[in-house]
Parts: sequence; C-alpha cells; structure tokens
Amino acid sequence: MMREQGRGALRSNGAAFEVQIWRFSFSGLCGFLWDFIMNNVPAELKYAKSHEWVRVSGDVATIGISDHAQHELTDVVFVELPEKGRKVKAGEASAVVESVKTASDVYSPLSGEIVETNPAVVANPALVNTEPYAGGWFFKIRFADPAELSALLDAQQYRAQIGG
Amino acid sequence: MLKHTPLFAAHQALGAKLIDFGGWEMPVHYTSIMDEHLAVRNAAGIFDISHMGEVTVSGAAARPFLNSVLTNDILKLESGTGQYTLMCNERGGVIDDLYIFQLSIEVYFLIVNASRTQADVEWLWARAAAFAGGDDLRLTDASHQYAAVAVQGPRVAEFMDSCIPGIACSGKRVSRITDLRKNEIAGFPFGKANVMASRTGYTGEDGFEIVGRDESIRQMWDVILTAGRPFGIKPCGLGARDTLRTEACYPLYGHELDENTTPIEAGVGAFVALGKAEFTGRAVLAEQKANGPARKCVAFKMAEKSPPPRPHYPMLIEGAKVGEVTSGTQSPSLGIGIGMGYVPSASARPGATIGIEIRGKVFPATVVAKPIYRSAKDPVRTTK
Repeated sequence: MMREQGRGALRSNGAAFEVQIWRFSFSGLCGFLWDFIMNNVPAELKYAKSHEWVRVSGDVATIGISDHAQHELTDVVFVELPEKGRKVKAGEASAVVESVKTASDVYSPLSGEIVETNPAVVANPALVNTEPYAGGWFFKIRFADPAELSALLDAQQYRAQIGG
Repeated sequence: MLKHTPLFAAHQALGAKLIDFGGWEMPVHYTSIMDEHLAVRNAAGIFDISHMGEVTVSGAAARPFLNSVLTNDILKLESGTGQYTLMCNERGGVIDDLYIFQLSIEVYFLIVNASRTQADVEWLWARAAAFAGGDDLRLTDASHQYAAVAVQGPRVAEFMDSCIPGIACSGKRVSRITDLRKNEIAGFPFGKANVMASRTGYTGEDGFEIVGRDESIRQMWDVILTAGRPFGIKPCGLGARDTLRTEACYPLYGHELDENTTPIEAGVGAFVALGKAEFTGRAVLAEQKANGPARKCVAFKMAEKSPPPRPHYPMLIEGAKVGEVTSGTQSPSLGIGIGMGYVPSASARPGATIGIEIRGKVFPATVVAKPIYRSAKDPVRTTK
C-alpha cells in the first residue's frame, strides 16, 4: 500500500521508525500499552504484507488498511474506491488513499469482483484514521479463490512484520 | 550516509518521522502535518532549519559585487536589515532565491537553500573572479558553522522576549527581540555565545529565524519549546513547512524556481530592481517585465471535491496540456486542494478555469490571487 505516487519534495521512508523510537523511550507496562495503541492488530483478521486487512464472511471479504498503515500515513484527506462490478486480481492496485503528504495505492489482497464500496469513507476520509477496522473500510470483494486466503498473514505474522 | 543537524537527537527524542531531504535526515512530522500546520496558523511552531546554507560576503567590494549578482537592490538596505532577493544567470534563470542581511556596510550574510548552497558558492566564486569593481572581497561558505531554527505563528511574539532576554549587541540595535520589525536582524547574547535573530519566515505568519552555533541552537530549541508550551507551540517538520509556504504562495527552489525560469515568470518580479546598476540577467528580465512573460506561475484552488493536486500532475486549458503542477497539496487551513504551476500568461488571471489531471481524470480548478491564504496578523505580503 505504501507505494507513493507523485514526486513531491517530501517522500517518506523508514516504515516503523516512529514506533521504534517510542519503544526505546518507554518501558514496562507503559511500553506495552504504547504498542497496543500504536499497533492495533485485531486477531480475527487476515493481513496483506502491503498493510491491507481482510475480514471474511462467507464468500465475501471486506478490505481496509491497518491501523499501522493509517498511522504511517497520518491525516487521510481523500479516498478513491473502485467501481462496483470491477474484477480485480490479488495484488492489483484497486483503490487510492491520500494523506496531506502523499498518495498511496491500496492493493486488493484477493482476486474477485468488487460487490460493495464504502460511501462513508469517501465522504469522510478521516474515518480511515479514527476507525481503520470499522467505519474506515474500503470495499467488499466476492473472492474467487479461497486458497488465496491462506497466503495472507495472520495477526501474529503481521505484527511481526511491522515490528510490533 | 545522510547528514544530521545538531538537533537530530532532539528530533529522535520527540518521535519524529524522518525522511531524506536532499541528503539530510530531517523530520517530516512529529505528530501529523495537519496538527503542526494548524499550530503555526493558530499559535506557534518551531522548525529545525539547520540544513539551510549560510554564506558570508565581506570587504569593501562586497556591496557593489553583491548588487551586481542579485536582483533586488541592496543599496536600500541599512545595517540590521535584510531583503528577499534572487540570483540569476545571464538568461535570467534563477540560480537560487535567498535572503540577504546587511550586518554592516562591508559585511553581508546570505541564507540560501540547502540544495543550492554548493551551486551558489561556485557561481559566486566565478562571478567574484570576473568582478572588476574591486579586490577587497571575501566570500565564505559558513554553512557548517551554523545551525538555525524558525519560530513561527501569531503567538510567537508573546514569549520570545523570555527566550532571548537581552538587548541587541549587533545589527539593529533594538532593546528586545520583539522590537525587531519585519526583515530586521540583530545579534543577541545567548548563554556564553551570540545568536542572530531576524523577523522573517517561510510560513506567512509572524515569527523569527535564529541562527547560531550548534550548541546555542540545541539550547535554543529546548528554551523555546518550554517557553512556548503555555501558548500551544509544537515542533514542526518539513511537511508542515511545505504546506504553510504553499498556502502563502512562496516559491520553492526546484518546484517553482530553476535555472530555466525567471523571477518575472515566477511572480516575484517585485524583487527585481531594474532601476539599479547592471546585474546578471538584467537584459532578459527587463524585456520580460516590459512585454510580459509568455508564461506565469499561478496559484489555484480545486473547484470541487477532488484528490489533492501533487507536483507534476498535468495542467490543462480547454483539454490541452499547458504545463505541470509545481507545488500541490491539500490545504490544511482551507480543507481543499491547492497548488501552483505555470500557465500561458493569457490564462494567468484570477477567476480563470484550468484543469488538473489526476490519475487520468480531469478536475476543474480556479486560478486565484496570491497568496492563497493570508494570515490575519500578517497582512503585508512578503516572500520567504
């Protein structure tokens, strides 16, 4: 998700830097709480390496971006969603999320057909920051290949990836 | 290996998100660009600007020499004052835009863009070698000797006297720092050393820029953050610096300015003094000022909800590409997309409609007068 578009003077790098620094500054319980706040990774979801989350219900999956991703982006000011009915392949750029600083692609973690998109997040992009796993969802996809689910990360693996 | 300013440890301790900015590892934000931007608009913010270049030019020939390479008229300066100016090549293209301060009649202090310091110094050396107006000229790249912070925002003047409590010991002889007026500069004792403070900035708000030795500026950072806390000061990164200057329509080298763009095209012709003696680039600039340039840098606002404009997005007029966005962002103050870019002069009037192409779709935008955002407390337009 963090591939940047445009060529502004300011480009971000160093993914989990902010989290790392704070962890050195805090200790014990405080550090644990900070990890919890900074790296909210719900156990019931699946994750893509590119920071999207997946919530499965039957043959439909809801897609959004992780709390870690929204925290890296900071203030989300624009969300662009795919057309309903569009067929996408796993790993295909399917939506765009823009912060003040940068535009980033959101990749569909699964192949299939877009069956629903979230008008609330288009109207109020800040939902991505305030409710990344609830009101800030992006789109729902009727997935074609359940085997793709097993290629995704579980919460523990994703937490390890983001250094939480 | 990225370069670090003397405040690097302070940025780390504050949990800054760091980026590579022209070879410097600098904070892009501490909390978020939006938070920091609004702190500067509503209260106060402090920025590390130690990466910027400092050049000193001194000697009996300094004044005539500098006036022959800079576009603004330094004969208008008195000791303890400064001005925004530009340095151009023979084609009128901008080598750099900078601030020049007269410390005394024979000593000048130039603050230049970090990314252009080397090019500037090489250009100045070459011009100095060819200068026929006198030999008593010393030119030093002092960038390594200095660190600097900018303190910006409508509430800054409420606490700066407590940060730098003394009376001026050089430059403008004011009895306290907040007596400095816009573009004035003075030296003040600070701890065991002196610092130089000017009433300047790059945000469109009131404020100061303070230059000193590494240790002084490290101390200054802490002193200002402590004194400013009751007033709502926040440490601010380069992200907010960029959105603030974009709202204020201050050009940024590499975006609005480069060696193939003139100050007249860029809309900073007010800082080109054609009435003074010959200076590099004058012929081209005089011709453009008289006849009008073919293209001009305009400011625009998106006309409806759209993705934020970004640098290099195509700008269109009646469906045809006429240029590219040079700076663009979501405006934290206005909540809409804003930007700048070059269009043919015929379309450079406020109210004109242009199109911005974003991911293959064209969104309407309206050309607006500069600045896009004007601070209630800083009604006079200045640049940088």
